Amino acid sequence: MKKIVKVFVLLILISSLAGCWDATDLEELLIVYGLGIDISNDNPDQYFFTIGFPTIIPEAPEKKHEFSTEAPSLGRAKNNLQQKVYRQISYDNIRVIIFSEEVAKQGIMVHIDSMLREPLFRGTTRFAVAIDRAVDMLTMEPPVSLFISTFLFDSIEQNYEATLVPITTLRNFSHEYYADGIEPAMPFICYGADKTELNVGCVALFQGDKMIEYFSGDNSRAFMLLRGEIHGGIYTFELMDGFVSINLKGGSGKIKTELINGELHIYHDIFINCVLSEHTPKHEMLSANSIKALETQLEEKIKKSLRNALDILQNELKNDNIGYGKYVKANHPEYFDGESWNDQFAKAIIHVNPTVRIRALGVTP
Amino acid sequence: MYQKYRNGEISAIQLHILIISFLICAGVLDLSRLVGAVSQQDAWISVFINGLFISFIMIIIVYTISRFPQYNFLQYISYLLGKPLGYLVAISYCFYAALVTATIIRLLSEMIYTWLLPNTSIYILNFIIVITALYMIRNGLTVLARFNEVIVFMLIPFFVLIFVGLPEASLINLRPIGGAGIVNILKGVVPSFFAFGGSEIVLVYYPYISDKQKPIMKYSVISIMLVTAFYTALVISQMAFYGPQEIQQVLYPSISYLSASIFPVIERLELFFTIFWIFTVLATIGIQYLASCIVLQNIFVAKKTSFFAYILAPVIYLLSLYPQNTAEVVDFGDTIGKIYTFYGLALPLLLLIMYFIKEKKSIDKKNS
Repeated sequence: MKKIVKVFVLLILISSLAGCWDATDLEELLIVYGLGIDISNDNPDQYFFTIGFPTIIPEAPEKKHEFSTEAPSLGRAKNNLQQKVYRQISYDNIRVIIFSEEVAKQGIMVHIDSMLREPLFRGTTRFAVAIDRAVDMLTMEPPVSLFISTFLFDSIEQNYEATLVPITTLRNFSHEYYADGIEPAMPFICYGADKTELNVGCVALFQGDKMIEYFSGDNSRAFMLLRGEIHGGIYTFELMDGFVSINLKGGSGKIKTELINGELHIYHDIFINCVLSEHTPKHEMLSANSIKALETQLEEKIKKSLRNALDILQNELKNDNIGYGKYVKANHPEYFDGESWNDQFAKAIIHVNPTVRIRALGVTP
Repeated sequence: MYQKYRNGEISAIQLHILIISFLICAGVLDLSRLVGAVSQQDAWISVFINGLFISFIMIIIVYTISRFPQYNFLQYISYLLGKPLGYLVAISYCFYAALVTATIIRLLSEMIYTWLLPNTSIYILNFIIVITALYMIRNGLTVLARFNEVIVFMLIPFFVLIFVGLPEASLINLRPIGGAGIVNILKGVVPSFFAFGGSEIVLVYYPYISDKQKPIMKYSVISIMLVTAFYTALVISQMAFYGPQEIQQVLYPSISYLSASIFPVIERLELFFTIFWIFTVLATIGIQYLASCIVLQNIFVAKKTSFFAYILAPVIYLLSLYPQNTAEVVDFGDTIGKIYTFYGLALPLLLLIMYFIKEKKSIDKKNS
């Protein structure tokens, strides 16, 4: 009897060896790298979803391909797209999701629900808004990369390191959307001189899940400095009838809040470390006084730039994308009102004070 | 030592390992969300207070049962509560332990189904888990304790959980400290009390400790405090990462937290964590399953627990299939949590009170 039981158990165990009989090989998957979401041209009530993926098969005429579908939601679009391809679509490796400006202005939470609910979507998937249609961006041929999604993913990284745009992932968009005292922001992709050139140096500003404005140029960098996201990048100023460029070498921010006679005062100190990378005005810099004088001039210029960005956020947009509200909530919970924080932010008196520290002058005096 | 005694014996150290293994279980997945729903950014304070409270309960449990070193669970509760009530509590505990086992099995299979094997039927997953648990416990307590001695090393990667999200965490999410208010912080102790559920297994396993002369109370409290330190640090790190509002939108913060972090070398960190987590949950399932079998053995004065393990396996399997969806699993878990209030809190207190009453009576008898 024992032998029969042992043989039976053995047979059952052997059957588990066939556990992978219906496994899907990597070659049988259609691995999506990028997803674009637009408003449909033909039917404005519907969205237009585009996926970009590498073809994998060596004999394929193209190295990459795109498919699009019209659908009212991402869930339906996934179903439609699956019907168009013969391989199983895998969304696990999406690197970038691009929303057209129009979609971003309508609100993106309706699309994000499906991404947050399905564990297949990585929390590290990056978000960006495109100035034009996302489908055009996903179908373009970047001059220096095979896949546009990889190109955008790396460009966002580079511009983040250059203190120009934030890296906004599925996870931190969700955080900024749900948390009180901060509004979301993400990279805004514009075209350069023509439609073959991309510029990932702008920042889309959101209120809730709707895009309301974008920052470009100095305002983008000021935004990043205000957020304390100070990494690297070259910052150029017109000073003393010439140009002065500094190479950012990291930094930090310190935010304090105070209630004085019922008015909210926010004291924001920003410390910027840098090295001098260009100095066209003709005088020597190799003295403590010259460096101090230059630091003071740079601080004034940067303060003006920060003030300008803050004025737009406070007065024009009434929208706290910096996250001052989190500090106010922490320090003055009795004053902070999550529902109307943006109004409180608009009335707050913000004292922004940048400190520039030039650590090196380069190899010329 | 292998099955030298009726169920095998365990050492005091093995009991502490069992306590740690048991307590670090399903609670890891959603403790931050459940406690954060009540005590907001101060969830970690609630968890810490609860740890102190559970330590106090553990002192009561060990103090009471150490007075009856030769008695098993049924014998000492029958002595303290009287035979009818003793049998009633013992039988109901068997049902409760089987229910807890089934619930943990279902929580494990739900998680595997959602994250790892979405095409595999829950019936198959539960069956495999029940079979594994049965294999684990069929040779009694000694073998299970040895299994846990091995498994306890798998808890080490759990500490990665605390540090992974730190680059993106912000301490501002934890402030204002105490801002949720004393009342909410104390209310938050309730969900965290359920996460620590299982300290009552000491009531069942204590009689099988071979070296009772060791400072069991001290080490039991240390075990609880170790788990408390782990859970508190975990809740701090997750609350600093998500903040009290976002965490409410995430069903399993611990896993989502890992999938949202970039970690060198390991691409899918959440899967790496899940492998270790599955083993610790299996250990928990085994401990609770065997507790039920041991109490049945006490009731029927049987020689081995294996017979009851085989009998209970289909019952536990069917119970684990009872909830129809994730929401029902959560409801099922809540109901179990409420029942746990009796075994984890009321029963130890009742036993202590009865012990004092009995002792006072016997002293009075001697004096008279």
